[in-house]
Amino acid sequence: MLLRCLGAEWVKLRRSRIWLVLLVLPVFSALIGFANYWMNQAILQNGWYSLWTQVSLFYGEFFLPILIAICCSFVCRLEHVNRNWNVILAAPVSTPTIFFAKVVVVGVLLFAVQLFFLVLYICAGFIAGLHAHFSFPPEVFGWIMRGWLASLTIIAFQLWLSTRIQSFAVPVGISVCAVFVGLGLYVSGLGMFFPLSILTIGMGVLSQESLSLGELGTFAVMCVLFVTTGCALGIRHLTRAGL
Amino acid sequence: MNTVIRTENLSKRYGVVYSVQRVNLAVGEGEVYGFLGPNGAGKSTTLKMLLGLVKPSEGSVSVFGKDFSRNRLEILSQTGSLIEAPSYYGHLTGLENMRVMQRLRDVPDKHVEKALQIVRLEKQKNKKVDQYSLGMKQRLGIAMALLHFPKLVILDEPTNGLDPAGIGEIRELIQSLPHEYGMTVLLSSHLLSEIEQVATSIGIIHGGKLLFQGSMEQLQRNSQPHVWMKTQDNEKARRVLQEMELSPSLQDGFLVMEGMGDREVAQTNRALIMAGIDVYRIEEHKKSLESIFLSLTGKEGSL
Amino acid sequence: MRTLWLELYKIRHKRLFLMLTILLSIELAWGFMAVSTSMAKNPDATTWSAILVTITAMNGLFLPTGSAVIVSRICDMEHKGRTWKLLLAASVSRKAVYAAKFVSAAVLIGGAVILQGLVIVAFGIGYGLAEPVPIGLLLRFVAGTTLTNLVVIALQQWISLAIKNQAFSLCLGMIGGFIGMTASLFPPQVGRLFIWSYYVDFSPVTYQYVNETMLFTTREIGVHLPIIVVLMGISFYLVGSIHVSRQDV
Repeated sequence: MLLRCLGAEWVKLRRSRIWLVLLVLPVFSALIGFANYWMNQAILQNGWYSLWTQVSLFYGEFFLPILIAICCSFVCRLEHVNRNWNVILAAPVSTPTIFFAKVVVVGVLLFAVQLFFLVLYICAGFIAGLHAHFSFPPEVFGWIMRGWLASLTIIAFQLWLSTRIQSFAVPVGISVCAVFVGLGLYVSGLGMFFPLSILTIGMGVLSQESLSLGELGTFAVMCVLFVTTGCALGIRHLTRAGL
Repeated sequence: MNTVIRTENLSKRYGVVYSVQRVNLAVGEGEVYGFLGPNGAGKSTTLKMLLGLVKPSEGSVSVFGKDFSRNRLEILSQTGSLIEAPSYYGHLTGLENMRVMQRLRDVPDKHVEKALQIVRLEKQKNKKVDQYSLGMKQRLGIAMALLHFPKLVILDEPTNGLDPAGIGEIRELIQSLPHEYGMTVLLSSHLLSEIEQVATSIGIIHGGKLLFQGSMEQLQRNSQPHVWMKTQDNEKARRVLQEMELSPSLQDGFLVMEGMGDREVAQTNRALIMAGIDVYRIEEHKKSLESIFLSLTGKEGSL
Repeated sequence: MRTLWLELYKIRHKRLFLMLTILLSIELAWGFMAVSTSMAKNPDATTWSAILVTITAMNGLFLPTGSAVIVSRICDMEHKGRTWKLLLAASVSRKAVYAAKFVSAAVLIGGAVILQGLVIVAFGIGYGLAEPVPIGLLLRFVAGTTLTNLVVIALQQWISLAIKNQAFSLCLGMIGGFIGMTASLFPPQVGRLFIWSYYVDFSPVTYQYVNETMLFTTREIGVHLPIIVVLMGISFYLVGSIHVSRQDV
């Protein structure tokens, strides 16, 4: 059943040119980060790690959450216009499946974005000539993967917002506000309790220290918890609403 | 005949206002059931409750003899629907829209071709739906509803936005669905003329209440013909008739009576002549469906 | 005038100003928090200038984002309800609608900026700043911010109306906010190419790091930059208006 829904979602994404946005934002953040690194090479002397702090700061703190919000708004807007919810909810698929299909589709897109970002990062490193002097940090793969896991929590919540709110822009606006709330919580040490600050922690944006086993455990538990909560809220809204 | 849809005391309340109140629908297998009512009478809400798009406040729905809330997916997999304005993804072509539904319902390719052919959209299937005319979007909606050749088709105002030729075409299509594909059709409209030509059964809803339900013939029988009499002296004739325990009303210089069989007409005629009143005319007026409908829904309920 | 009234009427129930207020409240809360901590650490810097510099930098991020959201909402309703046909059939010219939308957005966001100025005054007085309220600086701050913002609105409106998929206009808004936030990092020649960096460029107060401490100085903007920006705004507006008017409905 999930496969059927996914197939349908996939067809809907055709011709939508959403991939353009998916490509532009990471490129942009990598460019800015790289430029910043390039101009401040005198201070940033920790090779790949320094480069990561620069590129991931803009990407992980700001563009990735926004990108997720835009993606989620987009897949929900498809249903909000022309009363398409009528058709989807009258199809012989269960409501949770419809929601999960959207989570998976956005999740897959974002996974591709993460990989793309990794490629950009490596390219930037090579252009800066880092491969000659430093060995490539293996943690990067962990950051990318954990970043993706944390993205899933944001996806679940944004999809819930976007199914509730018909407007395209409002969920994105909320996400911008949430970015700052997340930053605040991270700074005050409550980072594990908010999806956006989990992202900061998971991607090693502000601190490249590797996480302890306990922190990893908390991270995983919180991810699962948030994804479940977000999905539950979204599904509850879909089952309840008289659309 | 098997009943395909049965609702019991189906009600939907928004705040304190009932938009649908204690509706008991019964749609038999192989029927084309016309669901008729003025705008805002509760048609769409009722249909949405049949599909689970709106949760009933009270009452229950059973389809194919099964309780809807417990067998939702099974029922939906054998039901096709077009609710309110047609739904579509504007940035995709007609064919791609069909593909979305095809994936959702898991039906073979040939069904897609066939459904597009039925509504005559094969030629425009590669055009973006944003560029379709309203009529074409409506046809696409019908094609989506028929895609999996369901046992039950629910169509909400399917001829909205179609030109007269298109309306005729869709009408023929709807009429052919029961015998050609063994489908049962539930069709809603606010136009009596549209329903009366295709429906075998009819339900009239107004103000959220089901005012009438039955076959087309029953509806016509329901309103007995009136006998209109014109006499030399209507006032005097009226007194004579009142002595016979009839209660005629005066309208436009005629005495109007209800519930008159052949014998009663002959008797009254004889009685009037015996009383020395000449009878000029005796006419039987049958109510048109239009006026039946109006008398059921009240004149203010626009058609 | 009629179209403007209509436009303001249409955005009723959208709670746009509320949204804007919430967004700016978060910004100000964040900004004031940062200012108070830095003032506490560094008593020399307890000046109005410190507040203005911080808020200007934050505006660089928040105002483009907020404008993108507001403008997108004002424009998207026409796409969603397919109301262009309706408007044109009512013999309202598209240029007039375009102008009305621009003015509505400008009024909304301009109002928010003025409100922001008042909140800054309140905060400064509440914090017990020794200096008198620098009305001149504040006025220049509000004027510069509003001017830049008008251009940003013109740009956003063009994209929001020309491209139905609002993902693009929002994406642009985010990139803009981002450039606005990091504007001071760019070399000036590069920064001047982007409209979003003018939030900071127009700030009446600037700072320099001298021996690890921030030194605030007021400065004159001159007339060249505002003229350039006004020209940018006019060209964005005209290009957008003409482009959108020529599109098929």
